[in-house]
Amino acid sequence: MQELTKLELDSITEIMAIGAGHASKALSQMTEKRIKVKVPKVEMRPLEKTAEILGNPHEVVVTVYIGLKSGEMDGQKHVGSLVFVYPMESAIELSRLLLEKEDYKVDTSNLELDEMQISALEETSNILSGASLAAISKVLNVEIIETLPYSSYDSLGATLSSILAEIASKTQEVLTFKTSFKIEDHEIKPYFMLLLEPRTLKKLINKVDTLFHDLLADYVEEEYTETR
Amino acid sequence: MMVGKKSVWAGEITVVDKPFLLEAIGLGSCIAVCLYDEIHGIGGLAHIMLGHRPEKTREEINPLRYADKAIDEMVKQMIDEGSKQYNLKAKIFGGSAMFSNSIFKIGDQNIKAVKEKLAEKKIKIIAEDVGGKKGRNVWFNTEDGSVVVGNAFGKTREY
Repeated sequence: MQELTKLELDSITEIMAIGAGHASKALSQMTEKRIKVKVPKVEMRPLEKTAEILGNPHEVVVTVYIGLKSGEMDGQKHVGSLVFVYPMESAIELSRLLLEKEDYKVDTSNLELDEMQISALEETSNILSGASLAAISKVLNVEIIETLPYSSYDSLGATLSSILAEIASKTQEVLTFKTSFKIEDHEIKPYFMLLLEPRTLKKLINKVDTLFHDLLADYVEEEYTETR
Repeated sequence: MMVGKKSVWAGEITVVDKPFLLEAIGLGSCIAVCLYDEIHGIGGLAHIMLGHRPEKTREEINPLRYADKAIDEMVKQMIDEGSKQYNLKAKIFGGSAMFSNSIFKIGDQNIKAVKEKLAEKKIKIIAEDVGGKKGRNVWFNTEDGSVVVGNAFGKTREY
């Protein structure tokens, strides 16, 4: 895997921040609450270490997995995955918030999640994913197609390692983007991650390089005209 | 007496000739292969992520992610410690499918690859808890070869 320059890392972070911003806007509309978004954390690590650094492997979470395909970038092939992680309290609180708006009473004494709650989180993830990917594909001028959302309700370690195993035969290192949200007045802190196939990542970096190269070229030209 | 505890993460193997508690946390589609030589008190745990390593795999990729390479290496290290291959017994755990989607087939592939490799080495599987939809944590006690398997919700069972 090629080393990333600071400029490349910054530009990828910037593109992710645009995606996260659009996702938070969608979440805000769904919940009618203000949302705080953290600046995405972009890290390149050996695949084996990724699950550990993303959180406590023992923590029980609801995870929603969405596969990504791209017509333009990689034929119809799998190019990456978007993973939404809802820690237990966040999963309970957020699903209650969403379902109560639809007049569905959630049994709060129940510490397990029912099917309606899980499906509310799947649906939410689907909307957030759509919003952020639409923004990202616009910036990069690529078409991204999502699969249906699939959920799991288990420890973070077991879930993430299974997702990472999907690309373990192709890459030694993984670039992860992690962003978290906080919903006002609530202890709801879901986060989402984007994992890219190595070939897609390479194409993304090239695209970013070209984009920024053009921008820098414009800038230099402008400066030249000014100083003349 | 137990000397200590060691975590074995994905893509790692650990072999000990003293009483240790070897733990493998967060097994989803991954498998913990526990090998034990009762006569010499030697134990090993491999935390594998994938099945057989294809020929054309890129050099830089950690070979211990793969069931066949990791088991080969673990058996070699156990023999180096003084074990005999015909003494080894296996217990295997993991290989589940965490998502309700048929594209996640790695768990099943891992179970198959581990069983094939152990059969090739004539190592008998004396206990197993594989497949299903839930994650597992494994604690392998190399003092007596016993293994405790737990899930994320606190349920445990001894093998």
